Amino acid sequence: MKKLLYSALVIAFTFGTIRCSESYLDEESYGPTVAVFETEEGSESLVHLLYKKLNVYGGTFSLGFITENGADTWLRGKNSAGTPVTDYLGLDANSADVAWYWNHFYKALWNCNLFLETYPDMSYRDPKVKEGRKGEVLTLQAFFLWHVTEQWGDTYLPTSTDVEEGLRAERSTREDFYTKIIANLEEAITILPPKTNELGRVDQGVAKALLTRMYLYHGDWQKAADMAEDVIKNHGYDLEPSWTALWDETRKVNKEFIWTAEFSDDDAFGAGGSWYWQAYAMHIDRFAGVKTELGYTGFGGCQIMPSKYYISLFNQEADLRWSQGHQWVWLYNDPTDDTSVFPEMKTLYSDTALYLYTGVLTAGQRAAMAPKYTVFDMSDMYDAAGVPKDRGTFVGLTKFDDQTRPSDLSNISARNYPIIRLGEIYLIAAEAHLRLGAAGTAAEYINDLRARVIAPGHEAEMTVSDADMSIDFILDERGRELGGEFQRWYDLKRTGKLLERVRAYNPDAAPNIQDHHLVRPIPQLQFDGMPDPETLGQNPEY
Amino acid sequence: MLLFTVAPGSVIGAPRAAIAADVQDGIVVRGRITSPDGEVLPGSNVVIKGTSQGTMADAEGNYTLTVPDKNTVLVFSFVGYLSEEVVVGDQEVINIALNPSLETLSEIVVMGYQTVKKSDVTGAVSSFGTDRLMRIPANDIRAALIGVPGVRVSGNDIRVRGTRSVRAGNDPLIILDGMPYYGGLNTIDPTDIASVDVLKDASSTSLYGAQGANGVIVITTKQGKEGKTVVSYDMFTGIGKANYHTYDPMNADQYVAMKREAYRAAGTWSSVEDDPKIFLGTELANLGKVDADWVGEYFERPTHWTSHTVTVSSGTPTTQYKIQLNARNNDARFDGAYSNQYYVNMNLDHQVAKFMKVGLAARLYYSREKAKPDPLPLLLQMSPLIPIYNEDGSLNNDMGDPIVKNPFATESNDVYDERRESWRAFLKGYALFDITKGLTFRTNFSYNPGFYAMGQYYDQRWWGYNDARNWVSTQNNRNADYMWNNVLNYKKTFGKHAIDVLGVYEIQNVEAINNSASARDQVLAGYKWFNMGALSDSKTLGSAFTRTQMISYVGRAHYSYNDRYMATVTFRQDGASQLSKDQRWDFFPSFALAWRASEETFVQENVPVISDLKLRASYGVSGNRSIGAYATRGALNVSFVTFNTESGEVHYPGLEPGIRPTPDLTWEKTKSLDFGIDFGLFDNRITGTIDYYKSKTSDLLNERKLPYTSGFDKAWENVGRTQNTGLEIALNAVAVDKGSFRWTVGATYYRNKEEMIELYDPRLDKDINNGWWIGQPVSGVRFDYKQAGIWQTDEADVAAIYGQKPGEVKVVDMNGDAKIDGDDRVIIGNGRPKWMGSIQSTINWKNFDFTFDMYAEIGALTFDSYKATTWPGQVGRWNTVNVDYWTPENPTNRSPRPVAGQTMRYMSATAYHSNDYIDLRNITVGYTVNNALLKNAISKLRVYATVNAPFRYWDYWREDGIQFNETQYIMGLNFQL
Repeated sequence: MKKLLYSALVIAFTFGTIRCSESYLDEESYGPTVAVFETEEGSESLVHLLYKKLNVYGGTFSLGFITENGADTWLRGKNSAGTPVTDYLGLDANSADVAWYWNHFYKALWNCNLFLETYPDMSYRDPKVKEGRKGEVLTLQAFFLWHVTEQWGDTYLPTSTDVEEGLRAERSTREDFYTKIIANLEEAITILPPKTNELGRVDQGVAKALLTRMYLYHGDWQKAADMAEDVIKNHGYDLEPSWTALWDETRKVNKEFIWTAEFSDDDAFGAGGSWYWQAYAMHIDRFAGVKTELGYTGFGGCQIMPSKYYISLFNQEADLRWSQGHQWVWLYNDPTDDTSVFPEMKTLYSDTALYLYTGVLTAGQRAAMAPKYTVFDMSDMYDAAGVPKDRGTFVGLTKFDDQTRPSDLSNISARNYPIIRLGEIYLIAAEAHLRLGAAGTAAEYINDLRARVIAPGHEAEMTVSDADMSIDFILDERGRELGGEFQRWYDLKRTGKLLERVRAYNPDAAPNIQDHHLVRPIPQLQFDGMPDPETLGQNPEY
Repeated sequence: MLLFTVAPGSVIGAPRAAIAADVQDGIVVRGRITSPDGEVLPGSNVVIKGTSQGTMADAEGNYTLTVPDKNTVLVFSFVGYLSEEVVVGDQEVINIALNPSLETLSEIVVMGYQTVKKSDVTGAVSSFGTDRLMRIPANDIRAALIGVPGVRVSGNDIRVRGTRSVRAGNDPLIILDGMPYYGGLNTIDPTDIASVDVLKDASSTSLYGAQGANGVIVITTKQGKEGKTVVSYDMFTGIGKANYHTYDPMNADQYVAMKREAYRAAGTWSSVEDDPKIFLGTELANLGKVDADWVGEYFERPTHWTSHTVTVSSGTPTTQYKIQLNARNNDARFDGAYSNQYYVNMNLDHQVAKFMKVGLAARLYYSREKAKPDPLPLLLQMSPLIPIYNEDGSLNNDMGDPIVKNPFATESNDVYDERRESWRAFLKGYALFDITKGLTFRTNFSYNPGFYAMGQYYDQRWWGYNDARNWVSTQNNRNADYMWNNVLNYKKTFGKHAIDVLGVYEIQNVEAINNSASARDQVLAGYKWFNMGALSDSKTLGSAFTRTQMISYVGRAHYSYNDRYMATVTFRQDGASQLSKDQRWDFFPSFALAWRASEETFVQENVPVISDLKLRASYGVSGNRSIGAYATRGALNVSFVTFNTESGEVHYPGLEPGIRPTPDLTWEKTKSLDFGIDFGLFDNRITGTIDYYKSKTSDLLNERKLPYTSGFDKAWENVGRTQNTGLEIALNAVAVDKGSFRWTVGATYYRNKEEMIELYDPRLDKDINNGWWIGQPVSGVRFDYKQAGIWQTDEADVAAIYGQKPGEVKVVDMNGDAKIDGDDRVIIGNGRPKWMGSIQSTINWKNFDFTFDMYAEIGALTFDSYKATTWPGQVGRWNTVNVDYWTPENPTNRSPRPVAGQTMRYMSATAYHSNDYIDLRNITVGYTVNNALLKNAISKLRVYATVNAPFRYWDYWREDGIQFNETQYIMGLNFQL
C-alpha cells in the first residue's frame, strides 16, 4: 500500500508539471527584431548601415575589377581572381564579382526603401535631424542607383520593400534611373544641412557634387557646368596644394575630399576592412636587398597593374602625378638578405636594389647594372603586344599607400578613399564646357587642376590650350588624375569609347570583348530565386 | 553479430542434457565464473575436457565440481564468450574470467528508455560491446563505429544511413545512459562504455521522434555489480609515425629547375644571368650549398600516446558502486603541443526498499590542450635553399623575405601560445519504482554543465600574423543542459501472449552562454591573455546566448504471440522551441512486424540447418529539428560605421534586416521503410543480418534562395526532398573451433545511394552554386571540366583555337563548339563511396589471441585541393611537392607547365582522384598469463602489442594525392585483482 502511495505521488508530481508545458517552449532571446526600425535608435542604425555599404570603396579589390579593370589603363595582376570582368573571359550569369555587386547594391536599395517607407511614422526627438536623414538616404539611394544602371543598364528600379515587387523585378530604362537619381538629389539638396563635420557623411556639398557627376552622365552639360561652379566656389572645398598633400593618409580630413569611404583600424569597430591600398603594389620581398617596409610600396597585393598605355599617358619628367604617384625604384633596405650577387649594393637607403625601367635597355646598360641591382625593363615586363610577362612585377600606383599601418607587414589600414573629390569636379567642369563648345574654359579648368603637379621648369609642356581639348584628351587626363578611383570603366562607357579603347590598349581583354559587354549579365542567383525569371529576363547576348 | 537468444539463466545451443554432475572420488574444485569486468555469468558451464561430465554455475556464477586428478583439464564456456581451458594442478579454487567472443552482443538491446530482448527486436539495430570498443585503441567510439553496417565515419562526422539534410544537421542523436547528451562524443570515456546500440530504422528511431531521423547512438556505460570488489588496471602506451610519402617536396635541384622553368615560360628567365630576378638573395647565396628538408624535419618526429585506467567496483545485493579513473596523454609533433584528457566516472545504485531503487551517476571530463597551428601547408612551400637551423644549431629566423617566418619558430610558447581547457559533467540521478507486478515507473534527471576556456597569445614571429603588436584573445563558454524524463513501463505475459507498453514524458533544455575578448599590444608579454583590461589598443568583446527547449511524449507498445509473431507500435509527439508557435508540435508514428520463423516446427523439421531465423519489416516517420535557435525570427546584421572628424574617428552602430523571418517553419520529416532478416545456421556457427531500407526526407529545412531584389538572399523554408536507399549485411562465423584453437571471422557490407530528388524549386534540376543536382548526393558532388591531358607542342594549332598554348591543361570540349565555357563542365563524381566493407578476424590459440581488422571504401571520388589551388597559386615563388610538370623537354600529360605570375587555367581538372582504399586498421597480438601461474592472486593478466593503421592501399596515394596518415605502435596490459 505504501509503495502505491509513494508511486502515485511521484507520478502525480511528474505529470502535474506538464500543464505548464506550452509556455515552456517559448523562445528566450535577447536580440532586437525588425520592429526596432520604427524607433529613432533603430532608424539611425539603418541609415548608418547604408554608409557601411560604401566601404566597397577601398574595402574590396573587386570594385577595382569592375570599375578600373576591363578598360584601357589597368590590367589584371597576378593575384586577381576577376578574369570574367577584367578580361571579359567567360563573363556570364555565374560570374562571382558581378553577382556580389548585384546583391550588394540591391540590398542597399531595399534598405533605402525600408527607411523611406517607415519615415512618415518614425519618431525623432529633433525633426530637423529626421529631415536631414531623409536627405542622406535620398543621396545614398541615388548613388546606388547610379552604380546599378551603369553596370546593368535598363534593369529593375526598386520602388518599395514589397516582396512581390522584388520577386518580379520588372525592368525600367536607364532614363528612368536618371530621372529618379536627379529628382532624389535635387530634393536632398533642399533638406540636407549645408555642412557636416563628419567626413564620410552626406551633406549638401556631397549631394551637389554627386548631382554634378550625375548631370554629366545624363548629358545635362549646362547644369553640370553650373553645379560644378557652385561646388567649387560655395562649399569651402579647395584643391590640395600638392599631389603628396592630397594623398597624405595622415591627414584624413583634407579640403579636397568631398565624400569618402571611411575605415577604422580599431578592432572594436571592424579593423581590417580596408584592402585596396595594396591592390596596385607588386611584391618586392623576393628580390635581393629589399623588403616590405612602411614607406615602401611593395606589400604584394598584385591585384591590378598598369597597362603599357597607362604608362604612356604620362610625361614622366614634367608630370608630378607620375613621379609622386608611382614607384619604380626601391632602395637597399634589407641587410639581413644575402646580397653577395650584387657586390655594389652596400649603403642602406642609398644604393638601389630593384629598378623597373620604363624604357628598353641596351646590352651595355644591362651589363653595367648587373653588379648593382635587379633590373627589369619594358621588354622584361611586357611582350610586344603589351601582355605582361610577369604580373607580379610592375610599376606601382602609390596614391592609396598607407604608411600609418601599425607595422611593416600589418594589413590593418584605416586609410580613407575618396568617392568624390574636388579634382574630379574640375574635370567635370572642363568636360561640360567642352561639350558646350567652350574649349577655352575647359582648358582653364584643366590648367587650374594641373598647377600643383607641374615639375619646375616644365610649365610649357604641362599647360594646355583650347586646341588641345577633345574627349580623348579629357579621358586621358582623367586617366592620369583619377587612376584607380573607381570610374574608368564608366567614363569610357559614357563617352562611347569603351570598345575602341579596350581593343586598342588592353591586350588581355581585346580578343574577348563584344558589343554586349557594355552592360553586365544579370546573375543566375537572381533568376534562381524568382518565381518567373521572364519578368526580368537576361540582358541581351548573355 | 550473434543472434541467438539467451534469457538469463538458460542456455541455448549448449549440450545441457549431456551435463551430469559426476560423483566419484577425486579433487573438489570450486570457483567463480565471470566476465572480464567481474560480471557474473550465471549458467556458464564447466566440463572436464574429453568427457561430457561437468556442471553449471549458479546464479552468482559459483560452481563446484569433482575432478579425477591433477591433470584434469577443465573447459569453461558460456554463450557469447570464448572458452577457456585450465589445468587443475594443485588449485582448489579456480576463478575464471571469460572473454567475450567477437561481435557478441549482449542478449539485451538498449533502446534508451528501455531495454529489449534481442529476440524481441523488430527494428534495425546494430550493437556492440567492450570487445569491439577495446579492439582498436582510440580516443572515442568513432573508431569502433567504422565498419558497422549502416554507419559511415568520415573525419569527425558520423552518418547513419546516408546524409539527408541539406542545411539542418545530419549528426545522429547521442543517448547516454538513457538521456539525450549534447556534450560531444569526445567527452565520454571510451574505456567506460559497456555497449553501444545504433538505432537505424524508423521503428527504433521514432522513439526519438523529431531528433531521430539521423539515427540514434545509444551508449550504455559500465555499472557496479553485485559481488566481491574488483580492481583493474588497464594501460597502453605507444608512438605514432607518419606515412607521408606523397608529401614529397622538391629538393634544392628540383626547386631551382622548376623555378627557372616557371620564369622561362613567362619570358623572364633565359639563363643563369637572370637568376637574381627569380631567387631571393639568400637563396642565390645558398645555391648548390643548402638542401633543407622541411617536411621531413617535421614528420620524422613521432607522436606519443598513453592511457591509464583504474577501475574499482563492488556491490552487495542492495548497494552497488563503481569508480573509474582514466588519464590520457597525446603529444603532438610540435614540441610543447599536447592534448590530455582526464575522466572520472562514478556510479552508485541502492535498493531503498523492495519496490524502490535509486541511483546517482557522475561522469566528469576535463581536457587540457596546448594547441599549435598546423604547419604543413607552410612546410611544403618552404625553400629548400634556406636552412632550417643555423650552423650553431639555433633556429634560423632569416627566411630571406620578411613575410616568411620559420614554421618551427611557432614551437616556442613565446611566439605562439594557445591553451584550451574543457570541462563536462554528466550528473544523473534516478528513482525506480516497482509499482505492481510488471508495472514500473522510472524518473531520470540529468544535468550537464560544460565549461570551455580558451586563451591565445601570438606575435608576428608566427607565420599567420604580421602585425608588430602582439595579439591576445580569450574565450569562455558555459553550457547548462538539463534533461528530465519519466518512464512508465508495463510488461505482462499471459499464456502465449506477451505485451510491453511504454509511456514517456520528457523535457530538454539546452543552453549556452559565450563570452570572448581580444586585444592587441600586450606590452608585458608575460601576462599572455590575462590582465587584458590593462591593454589600451584595439579591444574587442563578444558575448552570446542561445537556448532551446523541447517537450516530448512517447508511447510504445510491443506485442508478441508465442515468441513468434511480434508487432511494435511507436509514436512520439514533440514540441520544439526553435520552431514557430503554430508549427512547433508534431507527431511521429511508426510500426513494425517480425516473425521468428525458426520457432515454427515446419521450419525446424524441414530445414534443420537453420538454427535461427527472424524476418522483420518496419515503416515510420522521424524528424529533424537541427536548426539553430531563433531561425524563425529572422536576424539583423550588425556592424559599425566610421566617419572622420578633425579630432579623430567617430563610430555609429549600424543595423539592417539580415534573414527574413519565417514564422511558418516546421519539422523536416523522414519516412523510412526497412526489411530485415536475422539468421543463424549450423547451430549458429554462422550468423548474420541483412537489411534493406529506403528513406525519403521531405520538407527539408532549407535555405530557399531569394533574389536580393526582394531584400533578402534567402529564407528558411521547408522545401525539397532527398532519398537514401541501402543494403546492409553483417555475417559472423566460427571458422575453426578445434581444441584450443578457435578462429572467428566477421564481415560487413554496406551500400547507400543518396539522392536529391527535389530542390527548393520543383522546376530546377540543379543548383550549381550550391552543388545540388537531382539524382546526385546531397553534398560532395564534383562538377567540373574533365582533363584530357596537357596540350603538347605538336598540338599548338588546335590549342590556339581554344586560346591556349602547349603546356597548359587540356580539357574536354564536351559540346564540341570549339570553345571552353561553363557548358563543358560535367559531373566528375562525388565523395560518397558506392560501398563499404569490413572484416574482423580473431584467433585464439592457447593463451594467445591474435586479431586484425580491415575496412574498405570503394567508388568515391576525392579532390586534391593542393594541386588544384595551392600549387598554381604558388608557382614561381614557392616550393611545391614534386609535381610531374610539363616542359617542352618533358611532354607529360599530368600537370601543366608552371608559368610564373600567370593564372594557370583548369587546374582543378587535374586534381580528381579515385578514393578507393583498403585499410588494415589494426593488428593485435595478446598473451594472457595462465591462471595457474598467477596463483589466483591476480584474476587476470594480459599483455598485448597492437599496431593501428599498419597498412593502407589507396588509389589517391597511387596517383600522388597529397595526404598522410599515421601508424601507431602500441603496447598495453590488462590487469585485474
